[in-house]
Amino acid sequence: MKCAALATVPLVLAGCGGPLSTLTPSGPIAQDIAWLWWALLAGAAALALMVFVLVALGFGRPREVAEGRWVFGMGVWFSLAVLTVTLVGALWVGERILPHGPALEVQAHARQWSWTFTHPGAQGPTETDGVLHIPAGQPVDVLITSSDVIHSFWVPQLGGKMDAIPGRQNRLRIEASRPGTYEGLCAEFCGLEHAAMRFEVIAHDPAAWPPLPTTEGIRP
Amino acid sequence: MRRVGGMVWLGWLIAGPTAWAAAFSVAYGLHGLGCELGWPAVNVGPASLQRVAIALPSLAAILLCLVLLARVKATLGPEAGIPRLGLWIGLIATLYTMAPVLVATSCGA
Ligand SMILES: [Cu+2]
Repeated sequence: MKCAALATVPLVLAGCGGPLSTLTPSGPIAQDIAWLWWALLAGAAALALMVFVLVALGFGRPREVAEGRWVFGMGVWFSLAVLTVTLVGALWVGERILPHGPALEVQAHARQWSWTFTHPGAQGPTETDGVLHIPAGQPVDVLITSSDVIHSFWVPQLGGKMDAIPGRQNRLRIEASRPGTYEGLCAEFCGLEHAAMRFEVIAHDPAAWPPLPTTEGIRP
Repeated sequence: MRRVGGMVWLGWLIAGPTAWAAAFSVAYGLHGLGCELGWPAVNVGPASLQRVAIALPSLAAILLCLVLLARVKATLGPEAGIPRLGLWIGLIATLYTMAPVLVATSCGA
């Protein structure tokens, strides 16, 4: 039984890596979000540990317990301290990842069940299907729209998540530290092919930006 | 000290959390409305209309909790213990929910 439980550990941990993991960030915004995740995990672990200790104490022989210390010391003040620290951390991160200041703007348009991206260029805007091109090392604002139902734009390694809502334009800031190819997906259930609604983000060397437009879209 | 009926006692018990829940719901609704109507750009004294509008329901809830806390002992007598805790919970929960309103960016920009 113990072995079976231990055997599942690598399987569970395997979910912590790979191109769709928020725990392997590739840009400053995703890095901030990952830090927040670790802070929340630490807070939750500390609280869980306290509960486990209380349960363990309950199994021992009856004893005198300092009720005030447990109820107020740990139950109220310790919990409030964890809550306060994580609340301040969440507000701090939440403000840092907002689209403040200038950034390159690209457009992401969602429909059942694919993405179209529009990039500014010297010879007018360029449109691509399923591949978003951005320069590495600088913030990029993605203007997100939808033509049918609610979808959600998410590139876990580059930033947060933002809904694509029909009749609205939402703005999400992303950034890649280094050139490379990153995976994105629709993160809001939107129908039968939702799971296949993937896309790629190619971050280019800033020296080679903007890439040459071609008939099939953008060539790196 | 008069006896207080069961339903009245129950009302006192849930008053704190209910005040918090009501303030939270109203603030949530006003936040969306304010974003649509451009309240963050309207100044009311040192703060924006958006912040004032979202903070007011919470201030009302905090005030309500304080008033009830001042009266709970006189009204419920020896049965005031748990309702008083409920009022403190409502008060502190409202403070925590309101705190971000005072500092966080509104409407995502
Ligand atoms: Cu979708």
